[in-house]
Amino acid sequence: MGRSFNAIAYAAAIAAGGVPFAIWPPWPPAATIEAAAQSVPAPSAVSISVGGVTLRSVKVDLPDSDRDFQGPGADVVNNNCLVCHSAGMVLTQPRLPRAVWQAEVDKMRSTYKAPIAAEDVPAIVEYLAKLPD
Amino acid sequence: MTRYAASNLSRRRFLRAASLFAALPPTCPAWADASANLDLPGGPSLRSITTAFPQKGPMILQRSRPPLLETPFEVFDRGVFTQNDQFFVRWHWAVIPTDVDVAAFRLAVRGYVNQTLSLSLADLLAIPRVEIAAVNQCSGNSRGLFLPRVPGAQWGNGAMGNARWTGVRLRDVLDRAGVKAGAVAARFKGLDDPVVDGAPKFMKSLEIDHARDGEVMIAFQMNGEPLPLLNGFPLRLIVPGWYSTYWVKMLNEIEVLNAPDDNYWMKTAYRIPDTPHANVKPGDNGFATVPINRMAPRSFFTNLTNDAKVKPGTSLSVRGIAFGGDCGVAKVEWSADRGATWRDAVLNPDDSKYGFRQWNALIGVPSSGTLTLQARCTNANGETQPAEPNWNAGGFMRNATESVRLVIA
Repeated sequence: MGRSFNAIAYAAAIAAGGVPFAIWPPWPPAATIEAAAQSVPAPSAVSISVGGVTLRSVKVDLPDSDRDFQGPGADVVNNNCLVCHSAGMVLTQPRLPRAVWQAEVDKMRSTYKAPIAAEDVPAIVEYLAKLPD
Repeated sequence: MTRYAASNLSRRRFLRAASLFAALPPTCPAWADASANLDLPGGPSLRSITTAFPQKGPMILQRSRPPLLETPFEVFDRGVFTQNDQFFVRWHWAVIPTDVDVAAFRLAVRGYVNQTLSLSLADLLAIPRVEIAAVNQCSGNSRGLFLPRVPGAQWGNGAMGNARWTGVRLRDVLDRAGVKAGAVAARFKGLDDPVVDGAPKFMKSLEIDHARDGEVMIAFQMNGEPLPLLNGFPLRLIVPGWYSTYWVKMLNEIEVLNAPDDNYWMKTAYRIPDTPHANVKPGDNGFATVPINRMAPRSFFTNLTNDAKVKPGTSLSVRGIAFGGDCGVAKVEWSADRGATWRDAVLNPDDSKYGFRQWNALIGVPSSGTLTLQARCTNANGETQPAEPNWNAGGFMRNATESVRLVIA
């Protein structure tokens, strides 16, 4: 089993304007436990064989992260930055100058269309500029 | 070089999660205790080893969603081909289909062509097949080693792999549609999508002559097996000698263009300084950029890691892998005196232009002290790895010589 992050439904819910980010999906999710048992997908009945090559339909579950942002000021980062990517993207970064983090957050909003309110940006940059703590 | 140590980091995170969800089983999976140390200058260097991803064995976890999974470096010592279940994984966007129906899948060919195509997998399997061994390397492989550090995926050296790719020539598919005179490029898209509306869907393009060169291919097998879903099942583009950003996964659309591609992922992202080795100084600006393209030669030690102990006065068996980048390997050399003198290593016989070559050497260990070994590759075009690493803001194209520091004891 395991519950994978249903990003399509999540994006649709955002587009409909109805989902507060803090509520769904809950962090951290429990899927990592069950996910360890499903590295081999069940064989599918649907297959195509031509000239010695067989391709079978595949169904898998992708695990969620069990990490989130911690400490003072983490809420605004958790609520805004985990829409598109897990915390690992950020937590593996080296210490970076504040201006570099500002540019990254600006890129997330303008290029990658991250749904971050302008008034949340300073608090997010403040938190990131202190990483790794 | 990575080191592995039992770590409490993953266990602490696991237990914190468990405290919030009382229904979890009390036992902790074995994988939760393993971590890798990438030894990145300034850190953070520790990464969990995960076995949670489908069709994948132990992988270095850079990011869960969308997945960034690095190959543990000892995998490269096992042979010249990188096993599918530990081949690195890199996705840009998190909406990745997890349910692929081979009967329903179609590859579309459209745009500046005589006829549009909608090819089934059976159609593709009936086209004459080709196979090529080629290294797939992330543009930002080794970015975590840059100094000064740059933002991006903080890989060690493991965002690369070599495989036998089986499939059909892209040229044969394009010619079936009929490329119109005046076509300029072919652009490639896959099944993955951004999470948020309006974000730039990942797509890359190649100049039309490159796309039709007979080496660029569409693969449906790697190392004799269907592609793992995370490596692009059922089809991916193979661009031998070029960085992996072009190797579009879950390839389902080819669009022939009659004007240069100005999409974000060609025009703004994945661009390198138009300078030798894509090298600039931090703070430089005003230089022209080009889309990243051909790979550069690299070589690695695979059977020794930093601080390994070696016996004084003995003959040490050293081995590794090398690749020429956009052409074959001409030679691999090693040095034990910080690059003052170099000696030829023995190259395993191999005729693959674009794959890994294994190399080995017998090196005399002095009676005391430390022994620092370096390796360097010269490719068939005469290009040699530089001693000094390059730098650019994107963290791309690192190929400086590698070294390993051994303790004589």
